[in-house]
Amino acid sequence: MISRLVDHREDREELCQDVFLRVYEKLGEFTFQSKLSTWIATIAYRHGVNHLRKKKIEVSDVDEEKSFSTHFISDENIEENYSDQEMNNLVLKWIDQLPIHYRTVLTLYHVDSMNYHEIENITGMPEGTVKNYLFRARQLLKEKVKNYLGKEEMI
Amino acid sequence: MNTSDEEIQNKLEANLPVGNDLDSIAYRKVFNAVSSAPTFQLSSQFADKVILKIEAKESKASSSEIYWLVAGVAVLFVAAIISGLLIGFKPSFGAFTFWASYPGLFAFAIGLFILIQWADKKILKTPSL
Repeated sequence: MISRLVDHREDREELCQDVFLRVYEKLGEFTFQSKLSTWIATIAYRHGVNHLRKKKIEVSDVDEEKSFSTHFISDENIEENYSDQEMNNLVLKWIDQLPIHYRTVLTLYHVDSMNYHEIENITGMPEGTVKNYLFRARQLLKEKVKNYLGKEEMI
Repeated sequence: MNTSDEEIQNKLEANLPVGNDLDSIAYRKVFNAVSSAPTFQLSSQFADKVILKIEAKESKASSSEIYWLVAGVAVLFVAAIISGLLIGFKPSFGAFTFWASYPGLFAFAIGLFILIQWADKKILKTPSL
């Protein structure tokens, strides 16, 4: 979660320490209303978002969708043929370029195997928004891959 | 939502086969990649650093508790002195001067107290876990 939200390595480590510290301090307040992993992910998400806000990094809802999509899907200089592993790395790199909310939803759903309801609890976004962000994130990545595959065929 | 995109995403989520068109191929590659966790490893001293932070925070909290205790006692002491000066209080043992006439009773009370404490420790057993 933290590593998807925050780019700087030192900041990630520091934030992870703070999350562990917070979990240690607040463990007595855990009410078993949710899974422990969901509770910890909620703390991590809030810590990450607060950190980004402090650093004045944009965290607001995904706006200017059209201009972002156009910019995101735009061509890159692709001069090599990539293997499957390299393609995976390329997609992971593209994920890091997505808006924060898209990254968060993708990570919680695909990496942490959480369902929509759990993601709603962690991020505070309505379930419909979570589904929409997940769909749009995957669609944007697909367009990027498609764009690349089209180029590759031409090379 | 785009129906075709939605359909392909739903099929891939359910592990169902999808076509061989460019959209499906691209989605397969995306789904293969998105499940990979970001490659970030915490440093080997991570646990030590967390423990140090916890210890530092706890020692800071306990020293602030001592500070408040000392401050409270000092304020009470000053308030007692000022009140005493204002009302012209003269220290006196008052009712306790009664003990001076019965030193045997005083010694017996102390002895009984010690005996009860000793008996309490000897007779009452510590409950086993």
